[in-house]
Amino acid sequence: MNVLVLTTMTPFAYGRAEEVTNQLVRQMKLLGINAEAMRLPSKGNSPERLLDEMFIFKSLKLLNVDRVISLGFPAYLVPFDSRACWILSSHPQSYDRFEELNALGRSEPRSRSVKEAVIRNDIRCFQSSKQLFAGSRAVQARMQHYHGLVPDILLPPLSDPERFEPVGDDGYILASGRIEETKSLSLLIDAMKLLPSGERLVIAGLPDNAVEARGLQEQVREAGLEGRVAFDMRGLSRDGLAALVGRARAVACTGDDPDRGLFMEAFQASKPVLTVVDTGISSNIVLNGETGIMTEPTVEALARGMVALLGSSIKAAEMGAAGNEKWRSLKVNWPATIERLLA
Amino acid sequence: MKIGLVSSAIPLIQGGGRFIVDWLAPKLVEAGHQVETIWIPQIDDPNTLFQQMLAFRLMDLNDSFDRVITFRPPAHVVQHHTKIVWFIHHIRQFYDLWETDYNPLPRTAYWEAYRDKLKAADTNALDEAHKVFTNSAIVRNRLKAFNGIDAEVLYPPVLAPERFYSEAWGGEIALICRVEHHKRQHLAIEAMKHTKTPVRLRISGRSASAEYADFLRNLIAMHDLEDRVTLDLRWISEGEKVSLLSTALAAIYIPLDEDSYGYPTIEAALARKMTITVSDSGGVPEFITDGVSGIIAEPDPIALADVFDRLWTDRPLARVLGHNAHQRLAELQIHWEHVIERLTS
Repeated sequence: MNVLVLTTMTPFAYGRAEEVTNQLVRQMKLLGINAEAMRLPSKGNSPERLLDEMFIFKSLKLLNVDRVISLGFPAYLVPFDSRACWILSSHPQSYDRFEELNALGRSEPRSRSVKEAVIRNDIRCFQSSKQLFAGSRAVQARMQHYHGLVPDILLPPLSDPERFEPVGDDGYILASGRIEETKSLSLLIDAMKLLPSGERLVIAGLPDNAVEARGLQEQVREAGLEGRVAFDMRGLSRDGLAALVGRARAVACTGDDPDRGLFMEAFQASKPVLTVVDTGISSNIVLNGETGIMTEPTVEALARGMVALLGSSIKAAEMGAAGNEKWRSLKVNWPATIERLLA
Repeated sequence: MKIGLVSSAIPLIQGGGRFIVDWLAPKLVEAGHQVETIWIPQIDDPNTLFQQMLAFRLMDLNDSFDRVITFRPPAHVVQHHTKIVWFIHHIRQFYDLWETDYNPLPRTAYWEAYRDKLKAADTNALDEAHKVFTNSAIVRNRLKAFNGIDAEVLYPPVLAPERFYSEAWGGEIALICRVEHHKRQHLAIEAMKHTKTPVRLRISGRSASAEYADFLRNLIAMHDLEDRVTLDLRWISEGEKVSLLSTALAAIYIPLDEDSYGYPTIEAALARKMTITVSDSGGVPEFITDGVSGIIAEPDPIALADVFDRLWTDRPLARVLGHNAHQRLAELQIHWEHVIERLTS
């Protein structure tokens, strides 16, 4: 079977979308499927440009392909009969921008008609797709809001689950520094002030925004937490990250987009997860007190959750094992994911 | 410099149109450039060709790259302030193959007008390029004749030429390329029927057509050539290819009317092996001077058999012509330093 993965690119940018695309192709090849990804440039900055881009993608033609997997707007507009749409991130530029204009009372008729055209094409495309999946709860919610569709959620699995093992318990909580907003990390640092001395937090990974990262370090200094909150801001290798996860007591996934962060790595490595009440995938797995701690996103509540996890190594390990079992039952792995995409 | 390599492609098909891009990209990176490759799916369907071309043309590449290099048509119609076109062929059914059986379209006023419009669009896109190169003199001449465009010939080298070496001039003639009717593996097999020496033939390459593969198998069986013709219908590894060529007597490459000399000819020359070709192979004689850096025979089994026997009995000839083929690479500047210099100047 010949499978073409269609997605968009911003030249010279490499991020999560590119990683998922590469893994998808690689994993299909491992299963003996002929697969290739084509990444087409897309720059949907202005409403007028959006119409051009929709035209571009609707005009392309395919040959020698049995199945198409499209990963996002406007790549899914390339016409093809047997097509799976796996929407990894929605395209806020074509929805939210207009919402913002509306909110400011500056809704122009032209912009509104572009938005309607985008949504109309989206809906037509999604309805004619053989398979339709959302890559996260956030995307699913957006599709429900704008398109009236509620696709199943299909998470991009870990590419390297074998790396993540419970190798020990050094008694710290690990949080990912690789997230866009630092608000949640700032809350965790504040919560640390309420914890008994001796408890430790490790923030790992290269931050997206250097200025905000410095702000966090400043916050730690001012709070006198230098010895207890450690930053590892190297561009950690996956092995390096696996070592940090493997020796943590628990992993905090408390960001705004809870489907990002390290929860898959944590569940894989049998570590309990600290998360906040929300709509993310991790909340499907985190049963409060059984596989992790779910709490309100306030300093006090987070502190209580951290105390609960840091209080007992044995209890944390039990929760981690239960989380791992639940995680495995969800079958978030590449062969199962590819089977659903090509079903 | 930020360089975008833009080409059209049929998904999941490998071939010369892919290699020229895939092999260039790492060389540009080695030279210190940032490179991004953009493959755009495309089909040669006359009914939608103009719409597809319009899609190519509307892509917004200006701010992303300092320079864009385009390859297979219709990639040359993209817009960019510094567009380099390395033109590898026209959509030939509307150009040099218009009057031939390869063009299934009726020669009606509609299609004549269509053809004129396509020519005008191509010419316009080439006119606005910063520089136009072609992969062969044949294509350069066609660009001149059909579009009035002056282009410079820039011969494409192969991946990692330093891998190839020569061990000996053995008893086997190597035919390494895709197995397809227009590559004429059958002609080489038919030639083997007429040979009078123990010369052997090895055919390596994947076949997209099971029918043609069966035809070749039957041909070999029918002429009782199983002991002297090896039919290996795989995409052999690069390592196997290097090894095969290192001990081959010579190579043979006899496509019908190809656009350029063909990578197999260059790979053989790197291993100091001469290539046997035929007079109607299109671009191959651009590389081969008959009797000097290879042999150009008539496209006829008996004539080819005669060449096979001559080389088998006269190994020094195979060796001298092989060395000359290697020298020819330098003469035509078929090396990456030259290509990088021309494409980035």
